[in-house]
Amino acid sequence: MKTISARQCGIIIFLTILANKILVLPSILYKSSNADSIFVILALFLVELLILSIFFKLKKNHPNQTFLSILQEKLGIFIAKTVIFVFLTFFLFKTMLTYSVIFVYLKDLVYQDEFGFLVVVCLIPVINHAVVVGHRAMSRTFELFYYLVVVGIVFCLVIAFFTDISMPMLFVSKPSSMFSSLWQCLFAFGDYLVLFVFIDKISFKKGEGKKIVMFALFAIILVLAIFIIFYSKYQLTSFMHNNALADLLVFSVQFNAIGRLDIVAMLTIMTLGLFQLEIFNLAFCDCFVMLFEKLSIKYAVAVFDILFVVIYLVLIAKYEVMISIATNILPYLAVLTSYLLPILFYAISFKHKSEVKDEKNY
Amino acid sequence: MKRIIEMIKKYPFIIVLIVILIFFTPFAIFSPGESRRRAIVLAIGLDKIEDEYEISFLTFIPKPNQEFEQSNSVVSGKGSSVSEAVLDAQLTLGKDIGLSHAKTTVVNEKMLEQDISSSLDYLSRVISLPENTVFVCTNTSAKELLMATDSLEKNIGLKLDQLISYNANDVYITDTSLEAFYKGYYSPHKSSLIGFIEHIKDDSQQAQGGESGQSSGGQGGESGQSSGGQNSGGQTEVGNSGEDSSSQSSAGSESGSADGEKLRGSLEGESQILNKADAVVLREGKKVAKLNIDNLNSINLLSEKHSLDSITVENVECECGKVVDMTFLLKNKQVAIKTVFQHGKPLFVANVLLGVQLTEIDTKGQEIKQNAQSTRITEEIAEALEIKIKDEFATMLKILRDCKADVLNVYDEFYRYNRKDFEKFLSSLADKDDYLNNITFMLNLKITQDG
Repeated sequence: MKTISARQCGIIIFLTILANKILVLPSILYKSSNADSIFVILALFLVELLILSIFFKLKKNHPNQTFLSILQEKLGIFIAKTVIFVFLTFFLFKTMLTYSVIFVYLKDLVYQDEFGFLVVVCLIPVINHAVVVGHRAMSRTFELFYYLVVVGIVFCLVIAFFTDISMPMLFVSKPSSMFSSLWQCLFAFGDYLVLFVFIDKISFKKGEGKKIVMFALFAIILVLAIFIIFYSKYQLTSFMHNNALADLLVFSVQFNAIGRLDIVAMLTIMTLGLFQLEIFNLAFCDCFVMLFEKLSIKYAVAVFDILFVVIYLVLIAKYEVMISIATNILPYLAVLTSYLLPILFYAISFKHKSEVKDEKNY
Repeated sequence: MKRIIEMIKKYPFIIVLIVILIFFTPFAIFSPGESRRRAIVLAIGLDKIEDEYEISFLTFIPKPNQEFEQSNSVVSGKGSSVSEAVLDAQLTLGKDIGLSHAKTTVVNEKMLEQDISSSLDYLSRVISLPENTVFVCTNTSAKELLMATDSLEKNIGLKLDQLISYNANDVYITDTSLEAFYKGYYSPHKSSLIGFIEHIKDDSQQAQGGESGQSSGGQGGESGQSSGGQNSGGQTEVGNSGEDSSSQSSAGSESGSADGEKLRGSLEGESQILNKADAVVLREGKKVAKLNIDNLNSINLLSEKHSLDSITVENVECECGKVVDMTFLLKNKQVAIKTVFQHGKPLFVANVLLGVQLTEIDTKGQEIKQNAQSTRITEEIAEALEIKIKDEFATMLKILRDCKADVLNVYDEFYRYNRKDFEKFLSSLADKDDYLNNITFMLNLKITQDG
């Protein structure tokens, strides 16, 4: 089987951690809990790191098994397929949210006319192709563009320091508004779940898990830096700026003289967006193949395209609706997939441990 | 053929690429250029005449020429709301409006009698006016100011946005962009500072013809001091005089542009932009005070970034014992701000170390053989300088206190470093907005000779 290395896996987790957090999220969170939103995301990241350790435990106990076979072995076919279905739904909406955020950014900054159809026609085939060619080819591409993405983000952060920034006011929000923020942003988190779906495709030797953690930590640091610098720059008007990373570059009198530096943010966001969409689409397709074992990935891709067009373009249709769903309804799904199910996985790994112990005693 | 079919079977993605090419190539070839569909707006002017809004766009007209001259035109539209006015202007232009390059937004001073944010809301939130556009107001109509900018560019090659950027970077120091306006507007003190560009119609200049452009605007921040004697009394209101430029300067057609040229030509001799580096203080989006350059320098005294200031002290005794006027140039500055509570009362302490250079001595006709640069700043001179700076600071503070506008960001300083005490102090006030009057300001100056 074609597997991906620890480094490639780290890059995947790096890219997914940045998904949906560096554009509109800082603005949404500022509305309810001001700059204290930094503490909200910090708390969620800490929980995610804990859950990442569950993945390592599961991988250690079941090094070559697929996600479905692990679940099936421990919980039976029905629960296993139900869990996979929940994951499939989760990744379908993740893709839609990611697409929606990137699309609105491009619409605002690049092309103000309505061009949804054009983007779908051009973007979907590229994503589909990436999914069909598989994990290894995709992760190699990510490896190739990784430094470009990192340089793009760091550039945006550095340029922000050339404008007026001052530390935002902290500890001004009530706990209730912090919890409200936490609820609103739940669906933007839990991206590490792709690792559970790709569990059998990842191969790493003992000690290489640290590499993945380092990539995850780096992405977390970048997200936190974007939040802090964005709030420091815009402070009270943070709620008005929906493209945090891109807005770090603009709105500076000095840099306007040089030219439109926002092209850097634009390229970074477009590359990031494309990769994130590919990862979530691949996770969806992997779940689909696990759910319908007799069907190939091409069917999964076709089903995804149909669902995407019907649900997103026809039923949801508007960005505002998508954001409203993502902040009000989808957090329920996020609680289930990102927090309750990992606890179940932890129980599974615990069960495995006791079984091994029993075998030894016998 | 078989080989091709086999290849397509092997790589089905080729079909997708071919379909995309077939589908979009004709669109790409036959779609008109972006500049034909969208007007590039460089500056926006917003006026309100009775209940009607008038929005004017200084638009760039792309056309081939062999000179390095940019062809601009002012196009305006009217309507009962800003959105209607924009739509009217778009109809006149025959193009959509693209505001990405709008670096300046000018509003009529009269518009600031009401909350301006509601008028700007449509521009910034719906049609994406960049928040880094510098926000200024003018005494006459914004439309006429935009028209006058053309003569400024033609005669001395100075663009309006360059003039305003100079003010924003070197004179105001406090950011005067639309973003800064919103920051102030949404802050607890609801105060912000925007630039003021004076537009005058000078009859004497009109008689002299096109020379007016040379004297207009180009003096920059320092000219404000020399021409400080001019006040609004010398201005004459430039009315619209029934000429609707929107119909005359419709840039969509050649004839429209030619009419626009005529209109600008007629204004060249009579219209001037006078940059005195004044500023307007807004509270809750309304104008509450106007500050001159001295007031602004006093505000900037608390900012280390600001060093464009010259201070003249009159009637001081120099080393030789004669009474003269001395002008000092600010060379460097160190500022330390401290907020404390003494016996429950807030105290704002600013420790400022100023490095000044004596640049000019007005001997008032006396014979003094002394080089200004080698003259030592005596204790007496330093004291006179300190009194002068403190007086100006007090004048500025009085203006801000009277209009309850905290453009010094005193609120933020106290809230950041003495939050509990400050909240307690605010709750003890009958009028929470009047906190500036209840804060004691202490300005400690130390003046040293530089250079």
